Amino acid sequence: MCYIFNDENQRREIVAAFLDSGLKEGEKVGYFVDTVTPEEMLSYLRGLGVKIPDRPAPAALSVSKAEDTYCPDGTFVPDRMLDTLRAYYASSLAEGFRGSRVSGEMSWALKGLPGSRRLVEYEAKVNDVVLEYPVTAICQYNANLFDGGTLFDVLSVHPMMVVNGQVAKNPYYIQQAQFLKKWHERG
Amino acid sequence: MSADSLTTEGLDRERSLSQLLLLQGTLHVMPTVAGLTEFAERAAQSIPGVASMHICTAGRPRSPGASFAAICDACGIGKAASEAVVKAPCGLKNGGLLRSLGLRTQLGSYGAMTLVLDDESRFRPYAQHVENLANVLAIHIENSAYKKQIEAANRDLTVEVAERKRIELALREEKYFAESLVQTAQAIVLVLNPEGRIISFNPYMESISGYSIEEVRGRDWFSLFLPEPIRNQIRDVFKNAIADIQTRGRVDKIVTKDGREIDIEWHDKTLKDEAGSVIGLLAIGQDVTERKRTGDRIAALLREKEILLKEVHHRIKNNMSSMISLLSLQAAALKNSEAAAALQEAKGRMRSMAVLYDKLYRSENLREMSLRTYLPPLIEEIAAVFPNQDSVKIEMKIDDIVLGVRALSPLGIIVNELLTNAMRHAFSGRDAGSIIVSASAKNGRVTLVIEDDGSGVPESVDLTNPGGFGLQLVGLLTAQLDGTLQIERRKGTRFVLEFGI
Repeated sequence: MCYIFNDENQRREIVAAFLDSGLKEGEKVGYFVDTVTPEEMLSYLRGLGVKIPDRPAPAALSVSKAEDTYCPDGTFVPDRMLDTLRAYYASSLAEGFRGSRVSGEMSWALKGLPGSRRLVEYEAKVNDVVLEYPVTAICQYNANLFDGGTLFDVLSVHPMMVVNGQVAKNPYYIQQAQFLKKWHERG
Repeated sequence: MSADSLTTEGLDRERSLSQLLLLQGTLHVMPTVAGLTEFAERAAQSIPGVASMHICTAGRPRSPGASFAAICDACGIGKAASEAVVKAPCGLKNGGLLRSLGLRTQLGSYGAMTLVLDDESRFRPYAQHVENLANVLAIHIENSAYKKQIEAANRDLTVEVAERKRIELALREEKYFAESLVQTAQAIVLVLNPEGRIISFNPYMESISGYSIEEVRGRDWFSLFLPEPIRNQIRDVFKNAIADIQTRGRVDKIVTKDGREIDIEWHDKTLKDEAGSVIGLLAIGQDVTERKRTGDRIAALLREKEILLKEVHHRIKNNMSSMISLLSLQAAALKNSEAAAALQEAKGRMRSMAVLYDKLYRSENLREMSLRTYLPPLIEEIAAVFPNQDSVKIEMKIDDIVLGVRALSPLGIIVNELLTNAMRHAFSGRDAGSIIVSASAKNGRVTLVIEDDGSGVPESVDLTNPGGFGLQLVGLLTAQLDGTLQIERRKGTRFVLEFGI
């Protein structure tokens, strides 16, 4: 699902609730941070009441830099990231978790890294992956940073969205193939 | 039409309505008008029968009732359209039907939203919803403008608050510094209101007066702290101070709680508010009781010393007068004329000193005297003993030069020697003559000149070879004055003595 926001405080509350819910469900939770350091994010989460597990391994919650996750060698490759998601889900089950969920701050894509223009393509494809590897994911888009057209593309490829703090079915969602056809047509 | 197609149509309609509803519900997330319009234009393509939508907000905001042409004059598409569905060439793909809607709120008009319809019949069921969308868009555009204004005002306010905080902190620090100074100052810091009632004073005043500020706050300063005899006088001083005539270094007594009187030296300043109205008086006082006591003791001792010195001078003068009389008697009894003359000369020298001590003991100042006071009577006394006193005219040009006793005493003897010489030798065989005695000062040096128009001293006599005891003595005393003496021989003799004051 996608979460388009422009209020930082509200975002933190929603993200904290999402992560906390996963931890309570016994899932492996991953967070990809971009605007602050992982340590600062952990501190925010604690401040918002998220019980951060003490035990380091196997970590129920990991907070890492979004750039390192999406572009481990400095380039964004959609298919590699889809593999990462698959592996994450598989390892969470292997480690005994009941499932897995992730959330990422997508502003890393605005830094001009090679391949980052393929972000929407990745977002369209990821829906097929989660059918087989049911990772619950929230992609966070800051409306103050992304233009309106990109945000509408983002909306078009997420079947669910967070609206006013609630998860809702997205009526603008269109199938991957249909979207990618239009996307390529637009160039 | 089959049941399936009815169901599909129904689902499509439901989906389209959901989209329009969601669009209206998410527009508020877009922080800028550009983001808002771009997002809405993309989303509008999902509305059945709509090929595209164009939002124009290029024109400046207008009044709510502005005509469509007026609010849309910045947009080429808008000019070709109207708020009814019209068939018009619009320059967009395939031309088509245009439907424009003004973006209006109750407060203003912000542009127009123009739809290019490719199937009007499919669009028609959504027309009302699209009108709602236009209204919501207008509200968000308006909010965005207000938000910008509020953010700018907030930024200004933040800067202003930060500046105020900085000033407040600086003032607090300054106040703390000033209060620390007042609290620790070893001087009285007193604040009175314009009626002379006590507003505050510092711990130092508490320690020297014995009163705590709580005891006396609001009470009349004059009746509580000032001795009764000077109260009215000090009230007048206070009235002047309140009228901006400030006191500097005035010493007055105050009475402590245990009845002691102490002397305080006051410096004050009128306190005014921002409008310039007097709100009180700040007085800074220093306890000078001990200093004043010491000063009084020194003054008394000095007075005592002056009296003693006067007495000493009087006795010296009397003793000298007695000795002069004895020398006269003894000279008269001598048959040897040389011996008698020597005694007369000694008498003359003693007289010069007697005149000095006589003048000193009669004067207010016992340590120094003006040459104008000392020399004229001395010269007259010297001349008076010579038989030719009436035929020699003595002219005096003595400036008002004040010298100490240390210089006056040798100077008197020098004048005695040189004048006696002139009276005795310069006018031998002549009926008349004149002597000029002048004294002047310039650049810290005194010049004394004694000149006569007599026969002149012999060439054989000079200061390196003085001959007689008299000139020898003059040489010694000139050295004592750290001065110089010159003899000039022109028409008569001219002695020029110079020394520092």
